[in-house]
Amino acid sequence: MLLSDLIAPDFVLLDVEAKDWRDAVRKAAVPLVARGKITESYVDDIIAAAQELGPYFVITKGVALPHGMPETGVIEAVMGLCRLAEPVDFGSAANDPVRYVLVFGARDATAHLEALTALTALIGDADFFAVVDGAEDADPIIDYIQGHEAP
Amino acid sequence: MYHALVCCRAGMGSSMMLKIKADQVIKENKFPIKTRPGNLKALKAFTGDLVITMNDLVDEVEAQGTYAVGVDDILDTHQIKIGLQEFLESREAGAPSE
Repeated sequence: MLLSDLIAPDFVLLDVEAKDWRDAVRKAAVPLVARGKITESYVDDIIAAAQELGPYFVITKGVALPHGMPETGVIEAVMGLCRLAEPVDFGSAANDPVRYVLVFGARDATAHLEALTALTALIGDADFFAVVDGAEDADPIIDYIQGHEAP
Repeated sequence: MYHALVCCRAGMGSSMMLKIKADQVIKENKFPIKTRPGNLKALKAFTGDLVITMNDLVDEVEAQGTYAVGVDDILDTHQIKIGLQEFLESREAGAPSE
């Protein structure tokens, strides 16, 4: 399964106002819950885990990839992309402030190696974030992902 | 060949991404390390040589008596390389893993 199979135009949210990191994660997850890809309890579990353990999902500069234990509520593999209106601190000394929140869920990461390989390349690709920053809707973002993943 | 577990706090998404970057570093530098991804459950059962993880987990891994290479940023291949080199040097010197 390709990365572009995990993301749909409705899962891309642009210029979301978030009052704190919890609000950012919840808002980024809304369309994924609405479309039945993940459950509310998956989102609750991610927030509870980060409250207890720290922001384990802030994986690189400015990028959060909230994800948790699939058994808490991943129905189908999915990824969202939320561009925050203003960067938000997640409590990550190394990688704050966060501008992009990519809620991710997969039941089996090994089965999604191709998608995760593409995602790893994308989050290291400054041109991708230039496209995300300039986007007025989901289309250029999804086009870029489709154009930069292995066939 | 040394066996490494690549592990993050939750789920497998970031573990797999960190494994992808660690494997790039291992391949480029021809390090004698083989990685596999895992979660906290796999960590508890792990009996290999080292764990590659995010910095927030390093203390727990070390408390378990396993050598830990921690990274702040999964895209920071320089930090991953330095950490793996230090691990290999500690093994070559016959130093006990701490």
